[in-house]
Amino acid sequence: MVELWTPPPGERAHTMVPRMLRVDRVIRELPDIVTLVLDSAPMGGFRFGPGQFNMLYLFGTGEVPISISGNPVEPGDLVHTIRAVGQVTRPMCQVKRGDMLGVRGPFGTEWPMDDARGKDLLIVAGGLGLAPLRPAIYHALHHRSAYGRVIVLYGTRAPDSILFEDELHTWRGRFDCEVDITVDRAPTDFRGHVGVVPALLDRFSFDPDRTVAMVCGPEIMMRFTARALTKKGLPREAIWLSVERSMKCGMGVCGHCQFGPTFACKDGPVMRYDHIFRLLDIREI
Amino acid sequence: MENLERSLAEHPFLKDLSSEHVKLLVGCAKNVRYAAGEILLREGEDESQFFLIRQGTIAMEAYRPGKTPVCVETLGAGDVLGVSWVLEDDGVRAGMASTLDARARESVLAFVLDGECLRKKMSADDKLGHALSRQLLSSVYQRLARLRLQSLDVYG
Ligand SMILES: Cc1cc2nc3c(=O)[nH]c(=O)nc-3n(C[C@H](O)[C@H](O)[C@H](O)COP(=O)(O)OP(=O)(O)OC[C@H]3O[C@@H](n4cnc5c(N)ncnc54)[C@H](O)[C@@H]3O)c2cc1C
Ligand code: FES
Repeated sequence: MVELWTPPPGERAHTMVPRMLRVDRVIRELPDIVTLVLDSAPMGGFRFGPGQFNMLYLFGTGEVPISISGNPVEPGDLVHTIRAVGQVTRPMCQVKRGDMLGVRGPFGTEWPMDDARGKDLLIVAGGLGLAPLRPAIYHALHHRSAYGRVIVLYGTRAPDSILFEDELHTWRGRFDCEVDITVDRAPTDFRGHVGVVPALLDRFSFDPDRTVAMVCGPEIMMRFTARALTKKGLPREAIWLSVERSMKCGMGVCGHCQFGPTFACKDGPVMRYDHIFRLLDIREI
Repeated sequence: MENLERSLAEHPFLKDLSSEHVKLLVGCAKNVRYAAGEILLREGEDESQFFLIRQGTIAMEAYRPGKTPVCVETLGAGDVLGVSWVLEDDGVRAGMASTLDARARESVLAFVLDGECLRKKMSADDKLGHALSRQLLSSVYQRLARLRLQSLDVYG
C-alpha cells in the first residue's frame, strides 16, 4: 500500500492547483529577460515574502519555479522576471498581454527581513539574482528606519546586461542607499567597476558585527562571495543565500530538489550559510 | 616624514609589516596625485615603480587595433599596481613590461615607491625582503583568483 500525500489541515489548495492569472504587462528588460506582471487584483492581491517563488505554468508546455520579483507591499501586481533558457522559459518569455498563466505558490523560505531589523543590510546580487532580491530591497526601503545602512552590490557580465538599471540608478540617487555595480568587461567609458563581485566587497567597509548579508546569483558567484564575506569577518550565521535546484512539486513532496538532507523548495530557497556551506562544496549534490 | 610613514603603514598592502620595516620604505616613497585621464603606466613600459593606491579608481585598459578599447579591470583604494620591478636582478631585466594601460579614471591618490630603491632595501634586509615578497605574492595570487573567476563568464 502506498500512502498518498494529503495537504495538512488548513493548507490552501493553491499549492496543488494552479490559479489562473492574466498577464497585465510584459516588460522586456534585456534581450533574453522579460518581466511579467500578472493581475492578481481579482483574487484580492497576492501576498508573499521577499525571496519566495511560485511555480508558473504555461499550459501545454510545462511548469517552472520562478522567484517573485515584485514589491511585497504592493500585492496587487504579481511580478516575475524570467530568463529564456529552455523548453518552458523560452515560450514563457513570448507570452503577451492578456494571456493566462497558472500560478501555484507562494513557496519557500524568505530573506530574513525581521531578523535583520536594526542591522545593516548588505545585498549582493549577480546577474538575474537581482530579481529574487528586489523584493527584499523594496521591503528595506519601504521600512527604511528599521534598518541601518542598505548596501546593494550588483555584478553582471557587461554594461548592456545590467538588470533593472533604472531602478539601480534611482536607489543610488537616494541618500540612504549605497549602490555599486561591477561588470566582467566594459568599454572604457563605463563608469562602474570592472571585476568580480568579491573584489567589490573590498571597496566597502562594513561592520561584521552588525551586518546581515543576502546573496543571490550563480552558485559559483555565491560560493566565492560567501567565502570573501567570512574572510572579512562576517559570521556564517549572518550570511543568507538563495539556493536553486531543479524542482517539480515545489512543496516538499517529490524530492526533485533534494539538497543534502534538505529540500530546496521547502527548506529553501533562502538558506543560512552556516547550515549549507559544507553542502555547497560537495560536487555530487 | 613622520606623516608619510604613518600613512604608508595604514595602506592595506603594508599593514602587516613591522613599523621598523615601514620606516625603511619611507625613503623610497613619494606621495602623488594623478588627474582624471592621466596614464600611470602604459602598455610596454617597464614597471620600475610600485603604486600603492590610496584613493580613486584606475582603469586597466587594453587597446585593440581597429576595435574599441576595453577595460578589463578597475583598481581602487587598497590595491597595488606594477609589481614586476621585484624581478629585476643586478640590472638584468626580467622581461616583464606592463601588459595594459593604467589610466586614472578620476583623481587618484597613491604612494609611488621606486623599484630600484625597494630592491636594494630588500637585499640589505632579508626579513624585509621576505615580508615584502610574501605580501606581493599574496596580492598577485588574490588578483589571479579574481581574474580566473572573471574569465568564467558566470552570469550566463
Ligand atoms: C527557487 C527557484 C527560483 C528561480 N527563480 C527564477 C527566476 O526568478 N527567473 C528565472 O528566469 N529563473 C528562475 N529559476 C530558474 C528556472 O526555474 C529555470 O531556468 C527553469 O526551470 C528552466 O526551465 P526550462 O524548461 O525553460 O529549461 P530546460 O529546458 O529545463 O533547461 C534548459 C537549460 O537551462 C538550464 N537550467 C535549468 N534549470 C536551471 C536553473 N534552475 N538555473 C540555471 N539554469 C537552469 C539547464 O541546465 C539547461 O541548460 C529559479 C529556479 C528555482 C529553483
Ligand atoms: S520540488 Fe518536490 S520536493 Fe522540492
